[in-house]
This record gives sequence, C-alpha cells and structure tokens, in this order.
Amino acid sequence: MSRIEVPVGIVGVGLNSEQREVPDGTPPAWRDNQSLAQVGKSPTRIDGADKVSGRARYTADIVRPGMLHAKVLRSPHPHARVHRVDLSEALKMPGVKAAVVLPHLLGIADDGSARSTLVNRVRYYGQPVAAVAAQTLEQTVDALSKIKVDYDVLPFVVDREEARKPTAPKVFEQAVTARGSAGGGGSKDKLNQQGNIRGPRRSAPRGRDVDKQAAQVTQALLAGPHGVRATYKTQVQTHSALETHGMVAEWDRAKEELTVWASTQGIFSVRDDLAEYLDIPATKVRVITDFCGGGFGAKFGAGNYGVLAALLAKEAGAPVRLVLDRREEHLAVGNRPGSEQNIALAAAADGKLTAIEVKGFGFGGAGAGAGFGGPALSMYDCPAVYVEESDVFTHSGPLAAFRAPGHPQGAFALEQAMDELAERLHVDPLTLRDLNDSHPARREERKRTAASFGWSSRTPTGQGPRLGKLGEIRRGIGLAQGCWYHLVNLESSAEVRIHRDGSVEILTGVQDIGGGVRTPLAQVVAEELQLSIDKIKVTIGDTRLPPGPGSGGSVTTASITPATREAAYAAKQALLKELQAVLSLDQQPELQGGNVVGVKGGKPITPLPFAKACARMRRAEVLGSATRQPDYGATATGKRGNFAAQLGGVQMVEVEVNTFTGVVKVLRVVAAHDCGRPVNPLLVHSQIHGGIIQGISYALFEERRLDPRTGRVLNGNFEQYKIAGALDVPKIDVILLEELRGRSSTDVSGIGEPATVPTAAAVANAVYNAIGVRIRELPITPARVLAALASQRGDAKP
Amino acid sequence: MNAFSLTIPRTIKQALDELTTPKGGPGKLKAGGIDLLDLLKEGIEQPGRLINIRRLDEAPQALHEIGEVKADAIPEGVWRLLPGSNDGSPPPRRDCLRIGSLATLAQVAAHPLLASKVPALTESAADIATPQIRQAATVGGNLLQRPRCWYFRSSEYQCAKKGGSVCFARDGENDFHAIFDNQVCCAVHPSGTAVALTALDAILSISSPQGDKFVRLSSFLVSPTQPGGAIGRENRLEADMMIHAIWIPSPGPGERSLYRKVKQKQSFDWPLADVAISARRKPTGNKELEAVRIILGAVAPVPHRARSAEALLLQSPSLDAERLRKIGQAALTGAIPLSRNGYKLPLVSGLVQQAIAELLS
Repeated sequence: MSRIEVPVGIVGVGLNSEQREVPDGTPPAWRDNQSLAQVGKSPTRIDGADKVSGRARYTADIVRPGMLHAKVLRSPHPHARVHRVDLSEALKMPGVKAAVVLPHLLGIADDGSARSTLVNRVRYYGQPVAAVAAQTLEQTVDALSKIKVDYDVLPFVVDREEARKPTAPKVFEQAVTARGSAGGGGSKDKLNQQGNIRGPRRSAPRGRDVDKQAAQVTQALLAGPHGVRATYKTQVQTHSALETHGMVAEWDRAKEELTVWASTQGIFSVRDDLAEYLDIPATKVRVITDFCGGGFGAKFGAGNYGVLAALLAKEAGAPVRLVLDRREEHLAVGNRPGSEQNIALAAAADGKLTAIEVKGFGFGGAGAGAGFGGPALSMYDCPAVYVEESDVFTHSGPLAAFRAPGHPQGAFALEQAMDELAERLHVDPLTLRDLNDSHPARREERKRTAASFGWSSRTPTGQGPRLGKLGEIRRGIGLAQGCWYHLVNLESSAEVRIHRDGSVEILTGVQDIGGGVRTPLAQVVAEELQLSIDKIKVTIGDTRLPPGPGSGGSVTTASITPATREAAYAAKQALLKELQAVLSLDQQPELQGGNVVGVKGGKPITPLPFAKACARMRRAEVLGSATRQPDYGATATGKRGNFAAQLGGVQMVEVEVNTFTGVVKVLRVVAAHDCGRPVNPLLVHSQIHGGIIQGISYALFEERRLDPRTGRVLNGNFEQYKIAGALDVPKIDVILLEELRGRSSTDVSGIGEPATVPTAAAVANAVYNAIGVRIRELPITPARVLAALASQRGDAKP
Repeated sequence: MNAFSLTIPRTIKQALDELTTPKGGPGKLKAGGIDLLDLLKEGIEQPGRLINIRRLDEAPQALHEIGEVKADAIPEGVWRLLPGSNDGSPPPRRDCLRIGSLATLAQVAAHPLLASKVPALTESAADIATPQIRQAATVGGNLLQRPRCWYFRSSEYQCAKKGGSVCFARDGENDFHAIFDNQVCCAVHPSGTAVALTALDAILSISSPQGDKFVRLSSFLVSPTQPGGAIGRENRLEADMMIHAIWIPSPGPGERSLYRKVKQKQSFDWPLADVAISARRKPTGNKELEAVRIILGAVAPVPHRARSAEALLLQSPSLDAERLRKIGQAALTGAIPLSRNGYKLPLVSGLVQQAIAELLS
C-alpha cells in the first residue's frame, strides 16, 4: 500500500487535502476539473452522430439471416390456474417454426415454490404463458390465437382498499420473498404475511436500534410542541423507455452456443440468466448491446421474454426476434409501485426536527418490496426516525426497480410534510431545511439554487398575483430536495490497448443505456494519455469484453471510470517501460504535454510525440487492465446515510395553475445536484434534464389505470397513458457541484437516479404555494386540483 | 389486424361503386388513415377491402382545396340550409367558405383566409394531436373519428357500442366520459374540428350514388338518444356515402369566433373539454349580441350546444364576473356527471367563462 494526497471538498467553497491509503500502482489523484485537459470538459457524445443519423443499431434494428418473429401469449385473466397449454394447433399454422410454454416465471414475488410451478398460476393480467415463432409477425399473431390454454378463472382483487380486507382473494397463499436486481429493489426476508399484506418491515437509520427509535418517535410525537401528520398517496408509473424490452436470439446448433442482442441495462445479468435457464455454461452465451434505448431499472436479467426468445431460437434452429410492443411494456415488465404513506413530523420550537415517522403501504401488484422510506431514513438530521413499510399484493403487474426505487414516492410525502411543518412554524421552507440538514453539499445546493431561482421573491401561499383575463391563473414556487446513495459495483473491469500506430482502444463490458458512457470513458483515457478523445476507440456492450457493471443504482460511471483510468495508467507504464528498453534510456521516460521525454546518456532526448513514440514499440501493442477497487479508505462503498456516501440535489420549481380548469403547467425549474466529479458536465446536464422531465410527468400525468371489474390495464399505450411531451417541458437550469472526496482514481459518483427524486415533491409544493390548498395524491390532475379548490371554498362535492 | 385488399379508385364514382359492391366483403374508405389504422389494429374495424381515396384523379381540387365561393356559385343544397330565414322562406344567398374533405388538418390550421374569417376552425385544427398526424389527417376523417373511450377501443370489451349489452364505462373508469346525454353510451365525440364547425354552423356536402346530398353538421352528428341516432354510430353517413366538402357561411362584419381546449398535458392530448363560440354583434355598435352559438366538446356523444348559456349571454352585453359565472353555470344545464367525471362540471363552467371573456371583452 502507499499513500496519496486527494483533494476533498466542494470546488468554489473550499478544498482541503487529505491522505488516502491506496494499493501500489494506483495513479495519483487528479486535482479539480479546472486543472484537467479532458475530464470536466463537455465534448458532445462521440456516438451522437450515430444515434441521430440512425446508424446506431439498437436491438429492435437487428436483422439476422433467416430470422423468425416471435410473440408472447399473455393471460387475459388477472387470476387463474393454468391447467394445460396446448400448442399443437398453433404449430400447424402457416410459417410457424417453434412454440414453447414459458418454463419459469421471473419478475414476480417468489412464494418458495419452484419458479417452474409459478407459471401454473396467473396472478396478473398480461402474465406471459407461451410464445410462438414464425416467419412473419402476422403469422405469429395468427398462431397465438390457436394456442389453447385451459384456465381455471379465479376471483381477483386489484383495488388497493379491497385487497387489504381479510376476505379479499389472496394473491399468494404462501409467504413470499423478492430478490433485488442490479437496479435495486428486492425485499427483506421473513416478514409477517397475512392475507395480501406483507409486513411491516420496520426500519431506522443505519446504526440505530429500531425498537428504541420507534419508542423515541412515539414519545417525541406526543411531546410536540409542533407537529404535522398527513397521508400521501402515489400512483403506479410504468417505465416507458423509448425502446421496449426485446431480444434477438441466435442458437448455434453445432457449437451449442447462444448469441443474443438484448435491450438491457446489464449484459452480464442477461448472460447469467440465460446460462441458468438454458442450463449451459456462461461461456456459451454471448450478449451484445451496442445501444439501448433507455432503461430505468426494469431491464435487468433475461426476463420472461428473453428466456422465451432463447428457447424458441434453440427449438427452431434459427434466429428469433422477440421485441415487446408498447402495450406489453405497460402490462408485464415492471412498474414503480404505488404507495400510501402516513407521515408524521415533530419539531422543537426552534424548528429542529425531533421525530420523523412514516408508516404505510406499497402497492407493487404481484411483486414484493414496494418501499418508500429511503428519504425519511437518510435525508435529515433527526434524532428519532422510524419507518414501517408493508406490501399490499394485488392481482396486477409486478413492480420492478425504477429510477431511485422508493425515493420519488418517499420524497413526495416527506418534502411536502416539511413544507407543512415550515408553515406551522412560520418559517420559510428553505430555512427549515437549513436548520435540519447539515450535509455540506445540500447546503451549498440550497444556497446556489435559491440565488439562481430567486427564491427570496416567493410570495406567501395563495397571495401571489392573479393573472389571466379573469384572474384565474395563479403562480407559485416550491422546492424539494432528494438524496441517493454513492454506490459502486466492483465487478467492473476495463482493458486499454495502445497500438503501434498510436491509436488507443478501450474495451469494457459496460453498456450505454442512453447516458452516453462511451464519451466519459474516452475522456478519462484521453486525460491519462494526454490525447484528444478522437484518438480513442471505445468498444463496449459485449460479454466477450472484460465484465462491466450493470447500469442500475446510478453506479455506471462511478464504477467503470476508475478501472478504465487505471487500465490506461497501466498501459501507459507498459508503453514507457517498453520505450526505455527500445531507446536505451537511462530510466523510464515520462509523458509530458503529449510527448515522451526521457534522458539518454545523461542528455534529454528530443521529445517524441505520442504516435511517434508508439511507432518505436517492438510489440504490436501494449495493454493495461484493471478492475474497480473498493473506494479509498475513508469513503467505504455504499454506506447509507453518512455524509461521505450520500449524494443528492435540490430543485426549485415555478408552476402556473389555472383555477378554472385545474390545469397545472410547470414554467421553470432550477436544479442543483452533486455527483462527485462530473467527467462530462454536458452529459450530466442531460441526465438531470431527463430526471426532471420524468419527474414532472410523474407529478402531473402518468398513471397506470386498471379496470376494477376486470383487472385489465385500460391505458396500455401512449395515448391514454399520459406522459410528458415536448410542450410540457419547462425551462430547466442546472447547477452542477464539483464535489471531491477522494473516493477513487476518478472520484466520480452517480446522477441518473437522484435527478428525478425531488421533482414531484417540488411541483406539489409549488402548486400549494399557488393555490393555498395541498394536494397529497399523485398525479396532480385537473380533477384533483378542482376538487381541492372546491373543498377549500367549502363547496359540496359535485 | 385482419387481412384486407386495397383498391385505389380514380374517381369518386368508382370509390362509391367500390363501397357498394358486395364482392370481397364490406369496403371502407381510407383517407388519411389515422383513426382507421387504430381501429384496424385493434380489430374494431375489420373491412375486407380498403378503398384509398387519398389521391383520386378526378377533381383533386374539389376534394383538397380550401377557398371562398361567391354567393351566386353556391350549390342550391347549401343555400337552402344557410341560416338567416325565420319565416320559412329560403335564406338569403351569401358567400361561403368551402373546404374539400381531404384537406389536411395542417392545411386547415395554416390557412390564412380561414384564420382571418373563422379562427375557431383554424385554432381547433392546430390543437389536434401532433404535427405529424396533422400532416396526414384529413378534416373529413376528423369529423368521422370514432370515440376514444378505452372500453370501446379495446377488443377485450364487447361494449354496447360494439353490439354488446353493457356500457363498461358507466360504472367503470369514466373520467374522460360524457356529462351530458350519457345514459345509453357515455363515450364522447372526439373531434375538435366538429366542435368548431358546429359553432360555425357548417354544412356538409356528401357524395352518394343518388347524387350529392347536403346536411347541417349539427344534424349530421347524432347521439344514440336523438332521432335517427343509434348506439353503434355517431353520424348519419350511410355505408355508400362520402363527405365531399364542408361549407361555412362566410362571417359578416361583427361576427367572430374562437375555440379553446383544456388538455391535461400540452403535447398530444385529447381534450378534457373544449369549446367553440361564434357570435355576431348587432350593428348598433354597443356590444350587444344578435346571435351566439356555444358548442361544448368532449362532454357528450356529439358536440353539445349550451343553449341556456347562449340565452343568458344574449340578454345583456355586460360581462362582469358574476354574470360570467352565471353563464358558465348555465352551460351545465342538464349535466349528469358519472362516478369519476364530476370535475368536468367546474372545468366546463370555467372554460366557458374564459372563452367568452376572451372572445367578447
């Protein structure tokens, strides 16, 4: 081990130097971005032209010789026993080359029975049952209608309240568990389960005793003197990535090898699932993802569709394309679960929080682990915090990890409750947060957001100017903050090759789900080798490459850039060592200003430009490889709730509410976030823009709608499932902190998830500021706004 | 989607012949194909033959063009339906705006003559769907769209409108459904241009094997409870007919119109409610109104005329907040909300007030 100096602090606020113990051979720490040539700059995406010109090939674009088209037969019932699936008639249909029954059911809570028996019970409308592959998609659709399924239809429940009654039809007879994916989620084992209610899972902040915290919270809530208590509800949101889930699978009968092109957030997770479910070694499965059209947590593993595609390909002996349509996407591949949260806060007269309590239910359909307690457990300095979360099962599509699982729901309740408390205490909402959150990054974010947004011009609630011809338009501003965890996936390896012609190649099995990871990888290596990024080729998205991290938990850049930098550093050392030998230098030369400089016989040699130096190599290439090491000493990975490991942001929002029609428009957003060292601020801005737009859409529009009498999804499309479009996007200003902490050789942290956490809460707080009545249920529709205004006036219900 | 054959006739007559020929199963006209494709994909329409009328060789101008026709060139059928005669004698001839039924929504939205004379129509066309859809969708097709009720649009619900016995929306998820005339079928008419054109008292000329027919849009669109209405249809177009053109009496001095739509989101959304108003001031110049039509959309099986609100508005030119509130309230006369769409009452009342204030004050 050796010691290095690292800069620690927020650039512009103050940087200190700290020591970190690191393995020998670790490159020296970078100073702040201003001192760097490539990192911290904002080149446009190196694959941007490919993406916008259509050259980039996504899974849905893959065409293989002799490729068949496959489609999934889905249950039309929300609850049924499956007695028999008869494929014989379907197999006789024109063009049909293969048909299979789904052998294992993935994505649903695990009731302890084998996954192969889970398929015998339908627990949600749209649950996959079987699949067919034929020469054309039309033939496939015709053939699906010939599959005979013997369903024993059972009573079901989709209503949140009905499901909680002891008499409700049970979704699971046995106790269930749920594994998390690389995107998060999962559920604690061995929880109490009665009827459709599983839980509560009882939690307190890490390191505190749950029972003691629960008692302390009860006491503090009784003692007051100031408290607020309310119930908040959130809806079910579907992931709605632009590219649907899909796979093209090709089985090589001679080699018994499977190659798949998959729209996935984790190529290695797809490989491992397929190896397991096809019972072949991982070495016989290759997964390729050149480009992926978006992933928000539901694209990990092979998925039921992927297993079906692979089985069909194997049976047909031909490549099979199985790409879900938009309707299937809304039905059966995951969602952000709904919630009902009873939150109580107590504070002392000075405004300091004395208790946070959240108790409630999550509604993840036939999935478990629908929590929301994250923000309450880690955002504020509060001596007593206690959370109880229970799952309520219904016969509807199961949840999946979704961009900061639990957090937008939790922030929606907590951050509105904080505003309610501020009002009770007669303090500004910003002041209340300053009083209760000493995190240095959040503090700076509040300060900079407020200055840029003009927070001080906030008018008291309901007292803003009345605009519009009839004074029907009201404006309001609101703020909310969110946090997330600095997480790292250590299964992150990279290789950097320097070729004799001076070209440089990065090889790593990470995948680009839209964030644009190729570009920061090139920047990191260009920085290390003192090159421009156009000299660097980035090859990713293939399980034949060194393993890269799955893109979930906002870990991608934080995990893979240090390994990549260290690989480049090692390759550079190898190059310099080679040059010392070839050029008979007195000692190992150095790279300075893009030139190799060294000393021969006591005299400096003429500086050699990088490419010319490479040309002197005796070997075709030198390479360096590295695997992500744990974060440096003082900043151990993944500690929840401690300052060193927490990241987040603050968002301020201005809305306009039409009090005649109930329509809410978001006019502008200012968002300040931290993500460690931003490698490419432009791409970080894009992530924040995306998070805010998705958050506005969650706040105002999105909601999966079920028909209570049939259990079917009513709005499985983008016409009736309302999602923000271009005209719904406000002006967004991003303030990006450069927050250094000596975590790793690049000191990068995450951004994808925290960017969406506070938005819905900030919108809700702004709506309250505009109209003076609080809306505690998402989405904030015209119907809810008008109902709230009517109750404010004391109108009878229409 | 079922298999079908596609025919491309050259003339209107050929198109109508194709419609009536029994060979190859029932035929369906395809213009822009926007709504039709949705219906085909869901299996709600299953025609054996599609007859593409997008590019007929015959009289392309008559079907695609937008312009003004002088009074003496107005067909008699249109003339006889023009408003303005209270004593039963034929109304005075007047200039008319004429829109070929295959004109696209984009053409309508961008037409300067229409924008200056009948802004309600251009505003309604401009607010529909997306720019891409407006490039392809025709105004005739827009008037003939089927409702967007999510039960009607799903092949899994054999609802009353599709020949079944149940209206699933009545006791189901009916947020976006009718508050008027909703006892038989509570799906709302989806067309924004129908709302504007009803306010403008437009007349349709319709090609049929028996020759051209003329009908007021307000009686062409028909709810299941109105005379001649049926639950399975929203208009009186027979299987062997096509809309040929839309005629709008050219507004005179003192006539103005406006269209406003409330959408939950601003990109690509159907109206929660929309309204079109046309009004004519008395020549006296004291802002008194001589005539007004207030037509509400997305609240009933066909565009709904708010007659009580019109009557109240005609009583006095004063538009103070209290009077506006009363007019807004009057627009709700006869409304019976369903379990989940009570919000449409204050919304419609508010929308009407906003629209009147904008048009007249």
